[in-house]
Amino acid sequence: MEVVRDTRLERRIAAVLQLGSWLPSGARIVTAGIALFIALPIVRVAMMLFGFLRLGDFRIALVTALVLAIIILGFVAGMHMDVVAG
Amino acid sequence: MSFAHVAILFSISLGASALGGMLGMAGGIFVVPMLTMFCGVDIRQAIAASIVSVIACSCGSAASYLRHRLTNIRLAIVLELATTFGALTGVFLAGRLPASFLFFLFAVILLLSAQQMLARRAEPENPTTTARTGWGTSLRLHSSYPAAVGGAEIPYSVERLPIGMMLMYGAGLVSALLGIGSGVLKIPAMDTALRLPLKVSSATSNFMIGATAAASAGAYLVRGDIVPAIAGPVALGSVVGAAVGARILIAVSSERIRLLFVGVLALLAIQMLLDAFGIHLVGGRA
Repeated sequence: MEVVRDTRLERRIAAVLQLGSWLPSGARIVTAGIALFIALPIVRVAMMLFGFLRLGDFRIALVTALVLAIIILGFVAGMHMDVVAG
Repeated sequence: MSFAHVAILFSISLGASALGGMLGMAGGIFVVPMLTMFCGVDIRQAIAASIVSVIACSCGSAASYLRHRLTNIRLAIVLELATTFGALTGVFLAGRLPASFLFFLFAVILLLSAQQMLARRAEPENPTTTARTGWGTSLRLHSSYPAAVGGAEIPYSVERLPIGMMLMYGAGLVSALLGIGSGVLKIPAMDTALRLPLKVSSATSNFMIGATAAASAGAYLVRGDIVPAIAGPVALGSVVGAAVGARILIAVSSERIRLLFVGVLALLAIQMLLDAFGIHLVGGRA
């Protein structure tokens, strides 16, 4: 008896189905959208940091780096706290 | 979460944000009270959802101000040092303060907004000719902005930065605690301490909202306070509402409508005060 197993094809189909089951899950898309909104100002601060560094304005670049550090500290702090809402 | 609930959250946020936009203020100040009053949303969840929508709304208007060259980004980043630090403090405090205190603080901020709406802002006198010393000079924060007519550059200086920083710390703290942009607290800082031209202070304080809110929103997101089923429709509704509000802005210059909104703010403040003491008049609590 000849046994046929298209392992590679099966794996690919599994990947597509996995992805498909991911996408329609509304909550995940919404969470991604929310994360994107939060990321926008952080990207802006990072852009300012590089801009000021390129201009050679190190005093204001240092201030910008500190602001970025405080925002990142917010994320770190959030990881070490319990859920309050609900 | 049913579709109807999502639709209600969306429409309430749209209305609240449009109301704020019409008055030229961030919608957050209306979003949180309306969510707790009419949707029975937990105040902490309402605050976490609102802070996301505050970022979304401010980014849109910040872009427009930047294009008109009214924003002082150097000054903004220096003041953000104070606002983000304040926001971080707010995140730590938020978990320790009882919900009743948040209601109380919100009522105070609403009353402050009502008072600011009553008293018109006057253009602060900017002493551009004085000897330039202090932080404003060493960080090279003095700048200029294009005049409304003619487009000539009008120079201005940045005064009394340390006092401004202290007030900004408070603004960041309140922003994180209540999920609002807290323009209410930034405006006195900009006007009385830094003495910026009105257009510059509006543009710069709007620019700062995003980074300030990101510091607290990041923590709330990681902590799990931001509930997608609430924050999603609230953010979408707020963005649409802000766009609608900006269109109607011109119509709200009349004195009578201004007084009407002062009344609305006062009513919301009273309701929040009652909530602080555990009395619920409108709606049910889920």
